[in-house]
Amino acid sequence: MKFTRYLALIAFTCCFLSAANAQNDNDYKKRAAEVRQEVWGWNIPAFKNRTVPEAFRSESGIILARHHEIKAASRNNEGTAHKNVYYSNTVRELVKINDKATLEEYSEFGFQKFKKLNSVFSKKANSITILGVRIYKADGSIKEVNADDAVLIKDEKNDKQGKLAITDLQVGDMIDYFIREEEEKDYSHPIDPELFLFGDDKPILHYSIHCEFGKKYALEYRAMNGAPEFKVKKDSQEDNILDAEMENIPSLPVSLWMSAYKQIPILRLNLIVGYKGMFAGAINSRNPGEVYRNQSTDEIIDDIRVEMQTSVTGMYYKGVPLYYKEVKSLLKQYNKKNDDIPKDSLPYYVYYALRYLTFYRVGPKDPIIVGTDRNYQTPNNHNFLFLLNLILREFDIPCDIVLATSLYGPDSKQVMSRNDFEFMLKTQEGKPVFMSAEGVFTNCNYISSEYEGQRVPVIYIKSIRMMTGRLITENSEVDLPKTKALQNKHLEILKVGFGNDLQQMNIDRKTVLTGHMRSGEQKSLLLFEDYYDEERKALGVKESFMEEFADSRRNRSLSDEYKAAFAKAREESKQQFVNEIKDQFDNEPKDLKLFRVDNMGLRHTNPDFIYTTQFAIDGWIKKAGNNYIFEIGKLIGSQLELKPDQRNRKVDVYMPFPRTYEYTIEVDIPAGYKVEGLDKLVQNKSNGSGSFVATAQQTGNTIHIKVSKIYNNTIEPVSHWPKLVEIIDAANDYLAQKILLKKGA
Amino acid sequence: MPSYPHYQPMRNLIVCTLLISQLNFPLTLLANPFPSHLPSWDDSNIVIKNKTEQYEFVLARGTNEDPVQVKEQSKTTYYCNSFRTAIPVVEFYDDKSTIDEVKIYVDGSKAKDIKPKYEYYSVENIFYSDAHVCYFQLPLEKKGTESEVQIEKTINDPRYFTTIFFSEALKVENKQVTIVVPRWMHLELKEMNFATFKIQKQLVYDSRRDADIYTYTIRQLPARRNEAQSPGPSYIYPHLMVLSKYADGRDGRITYFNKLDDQYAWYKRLVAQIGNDATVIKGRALEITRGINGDMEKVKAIYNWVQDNIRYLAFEDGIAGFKPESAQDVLKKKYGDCKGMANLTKELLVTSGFDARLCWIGTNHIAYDYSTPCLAVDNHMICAVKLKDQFYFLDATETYIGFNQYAERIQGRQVLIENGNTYLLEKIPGRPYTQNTEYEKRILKIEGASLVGKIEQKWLGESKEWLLEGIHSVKKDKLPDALTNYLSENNARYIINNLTYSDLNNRNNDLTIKYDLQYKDALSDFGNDLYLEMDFRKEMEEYEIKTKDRQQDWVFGYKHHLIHETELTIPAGYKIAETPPPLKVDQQDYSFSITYKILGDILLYNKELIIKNTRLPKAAFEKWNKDIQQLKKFYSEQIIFTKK
Repeated sequence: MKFTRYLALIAFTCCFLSAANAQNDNDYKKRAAEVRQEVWGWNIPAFKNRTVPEAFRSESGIILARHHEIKAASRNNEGTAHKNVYYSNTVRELVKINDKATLEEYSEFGFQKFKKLNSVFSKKANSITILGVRIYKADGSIKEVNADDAVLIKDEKNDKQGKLAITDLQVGDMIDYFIREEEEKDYSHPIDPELFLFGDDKPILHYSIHCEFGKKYALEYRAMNGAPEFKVKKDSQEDNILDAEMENIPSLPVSLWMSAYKQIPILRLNLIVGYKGMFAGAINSRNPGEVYRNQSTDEIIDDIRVEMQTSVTGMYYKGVPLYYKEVKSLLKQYNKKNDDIPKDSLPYYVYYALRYLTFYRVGPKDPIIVGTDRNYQTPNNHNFLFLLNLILREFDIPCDIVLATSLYGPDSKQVMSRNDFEFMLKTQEGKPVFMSAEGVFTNCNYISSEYEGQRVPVIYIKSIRMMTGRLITENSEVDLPKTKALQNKHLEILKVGFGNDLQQMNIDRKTVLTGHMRSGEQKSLLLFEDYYDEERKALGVKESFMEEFADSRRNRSLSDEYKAAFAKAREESKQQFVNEIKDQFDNEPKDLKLFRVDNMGLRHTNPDFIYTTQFAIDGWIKKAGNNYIFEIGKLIGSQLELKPDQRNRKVDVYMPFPRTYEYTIEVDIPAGYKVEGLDKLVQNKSNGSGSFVATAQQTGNTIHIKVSKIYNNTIEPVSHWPKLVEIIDAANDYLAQKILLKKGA
Repeated sequence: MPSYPHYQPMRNLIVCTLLISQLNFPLTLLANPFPSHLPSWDDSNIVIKNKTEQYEFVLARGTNEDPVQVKEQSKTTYYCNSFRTAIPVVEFYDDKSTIDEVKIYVDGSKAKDIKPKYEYYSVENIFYSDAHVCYFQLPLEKKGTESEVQIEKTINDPRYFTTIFFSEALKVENKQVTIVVPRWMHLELKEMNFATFKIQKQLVYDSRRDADIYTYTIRQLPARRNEAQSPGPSYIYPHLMVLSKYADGRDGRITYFNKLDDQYAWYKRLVAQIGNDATVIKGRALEITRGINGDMEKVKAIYNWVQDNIRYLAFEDGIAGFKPESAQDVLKKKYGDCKGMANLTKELLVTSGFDARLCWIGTNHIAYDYSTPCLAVDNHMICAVKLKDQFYFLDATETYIGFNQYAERIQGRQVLIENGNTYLLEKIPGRPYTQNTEYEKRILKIEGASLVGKIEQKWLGESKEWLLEGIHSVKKDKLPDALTNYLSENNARYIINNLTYSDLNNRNNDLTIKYDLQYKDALSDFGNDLYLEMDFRKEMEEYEIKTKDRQQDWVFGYKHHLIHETELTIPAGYKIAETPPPLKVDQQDYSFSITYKILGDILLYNKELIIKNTRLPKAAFEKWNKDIQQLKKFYSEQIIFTKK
């Protein structure tokens, strides 16, 4: 037994020695041949069982076996005091192809054949990818695809990308292929974390994982949502050997309203070079050879604290003095014209000031981007919030750093990496103010929907020892507030009249978007010229950049250029409004007479996004002899419709957030007509998960309609799915409702 | 391609790295840079103020396998009209051409810091080609400034120098195209689509160079614009076809495509190099035709086998863009491009004893025919088989089309058929719209507010090909749902049960789908009357063309023919007082006919919509839009069932 293992290790080391030099084509081919021999020689029974059970015959494709193998070793880097990492990651699959759609999926492979890695300490930091493909024909014959026939679509010294067309692949065949990635790099390169997802769009009959990690590595892993645990053992060299497997994994469930991290079996693995040096404690490294299962959240928070120490001290020297001075200068201008800001309002001012400096302020060397492209910028969340935190400290406003977890990620008790957390800030004194860095229009005290309503950790930087860079911190927890359905509202107020021939309607529309409903439309409809000016004035900035440029001999012409760019952006925004109307009503407006933003929703004090549109639309009035059928239900706009395979749901529901859709509609009845069928417009479906309520009445020559559709919760257990279906169906029933405009009132 | 979930590297734990990151900490507050786009066709901010292009035929120095080369020099001056920006500049090259030099000037100064990138260019629907692109961002410093790009290129073989297009991605104020043709070079320049553009031509003889110099000058040339469903660029934009005939080079005459015979001979030389292995192919041909009697049936079996088993995968790599791959290689790989598939089809037929030929053809995407021999006149290869003195054309890249049915793109096109050392020049037969009929028969009755009954739908020709293409792209475990969604047009009230369909792998028969229908809430009940919108599908009602922006003719994918028949039983106790008058539209390019008829207690609804010609000229748009409005209005008219 010992002897076998010894041989295996020798082979392993040799293979890495070859891999490191494989950028040469001959070396690559030689290495590829060795790897193919090795992988095809794996003794895994699942790959030998090539019988598809009867139950899966109607599937498009079946993964009979999937095996994932990861190996990592280390050795001294010649001539230096540093070590190199040797890493290989192999995925092999045996797939039965039952139709052309699956055939197409496996007919081409793209891969990074060779890449030189940036490295601080090693000149030969490389990555290569090797493919192996075999086809099992229906007649029992085996065809090996020559993967070295791949064409190169990038052929540079340090970067070679290949593309392989799979030969002789037909419906009815099985494809047995593997992708092996081998890397040699120095310790400064992190190894990508692994996420093993026990699910695919096809059933998997057998999924196995095997890992061999040298004793220099520390491991962290966590099995989630019913994924198998690793079986861990040490071999004679004290290396860690990990194995896991799972059988008969059904194809993934429906795609609507899912949270994969919370619903699909997942095994996560982090591989870290263990470190025992003199700074080991300071950098919070893991012990070499140690296997950490289900680490506590505190350990991950500790990692964050250590990283924060580096960035915070760096920022103190670079960013804080500059930005603090600028914020102070803005505040001074504001206070000159206004009463001094009370302390509880100061966090808001500082937040908006930094948002202004990041997204709004224009310098003479900036590119001229004033169309809606500008609205999709996002901040470097980490830098923005850390800088904000330090500036707020300068203003004597202590803040906690909130480590929020996403609805679509692991919860705070299951995190494995700092990337599982999103940073936010929370003021400590008085009523807490939350600050997050999402985008150009994010309000102060706004929490994005995917983070709200969770109990999450916070870190407070109690003090910073500038000499050593050490942070003294305190940890605690906070419940993030959660919005209710009425706070996230899409309100449509419509006044509907008819044209001369009754076949076309004129709609005067006001749209109010609140809470989480706003950001998409703000990005597509707001113009920089408008929001820049509003925010500049709100902050008390005396001169606009246009005025500054106009006053400067050097930049005078820039002012004219911006004017031209503003005019062009405004012209283009008409089409954005047309698109918005088309999306809302599933019908293109014929004539957009007016489009106007009434309230931009830039600040927490006036947060709603409100706009007005006036347009004509046709297609909803149908001639019926002397009368007309009016598809009045369509005024509420397109509604979510369930596909047949979504109706029979077997998993819990993760919606984006609780929300309300509300419609207040007035229809002027055309002269000479009376209305029949208003009773069809009355509905009342209400259950614990939501409601769909509609009323309609006639006053004089006007029909008054009120409709609301509400989803009460973000997460619903699958047992409540029928309740949601009831609401969704009710809305669609309403959409199909018609009234009769009968001649001869 | 299979993919696996990966996410960002998590952390690095080495002291040195942290220290370095601290020292180099860049305080960037923005996560994403601004994107840069090519301005749209109607953008007047950046224009090409002036462009000169010169093409000169030269004799290559020393011994060179390409003795005649074309040197291309261009100088483009971009002008900023309104506000500073940056635009992407791209220049293509390939196996037969090189980019020798790129010089960039911004506001009069050489822009040394702009480094063009040279990369493989991925062409849609082509697995691998020799197309490469040189690209960079060109800044326009401020309003009123110019940036200039100078590019020198070499085209290594005049055969590949086929066209000079005048239009650019931006509006051009002045452009001059010069072609220097030494007297030893013999060519013809054919002017295409000059009619609506003011293009001046000048021809002078330069005695110093002993060359004819052609100069074309054009002013105020609109930018190229991509419009959906428009004819190919060779129909639209002004350009020159360069027909290189022959050159009297240093070592004697080099004949390019003086006549079509020369082009055919060039193709034939490539075909002669294929090296098909008849033994291998014959074995497979025998397997395919085993047990099949009759020539026609055998041909169909072979054609269908190639359609079924060979994936279309295009390689356009140098000469491989013109030379078919051997039949045995395509057979082994089970993929090939049009040339490889045509060659395999031919070899399978020849080894089965049929008279089969390779054919070269230009699809309807290109405006040329073989009267102007050059490599731009064709873009496709197919196979022809002669049965009882009649050619049948087999295009196996059309995976789901039936035998003796032709795709619109090749119908009526000139086809160059191999014929030993000579060639035959014929035309692919045209096909009437009836090749592509889509038929729907509905026998319905009213139950409450629902329509219930039986439906039969059929698809022929290209409509069948289109649908089968879609069906086979869906995973089979998802097919029932996908078909239901397609037939019901995603309407949850259009409930389909007992869905059956004909053999989805047989492209020689009509595709037939039958099902039971319950169309909920199809009727509205007001007072004593029931109201019904008879047409569920309302085909073409959205086909109104936005004439304001549209510049080009509209091109339909194929000739459409829709027939729809409904028999609806009038419920007992109800009558229909009147039905809408028939709709009859009959134009040169299309016709619409829809009628209602009452026979006893049956209401008959018959509809026939025909697109007779696939190209609807711009001049017909106004009429077309009025007719579509009529159609739309007709569709919306309700049938009223009144209580007797």
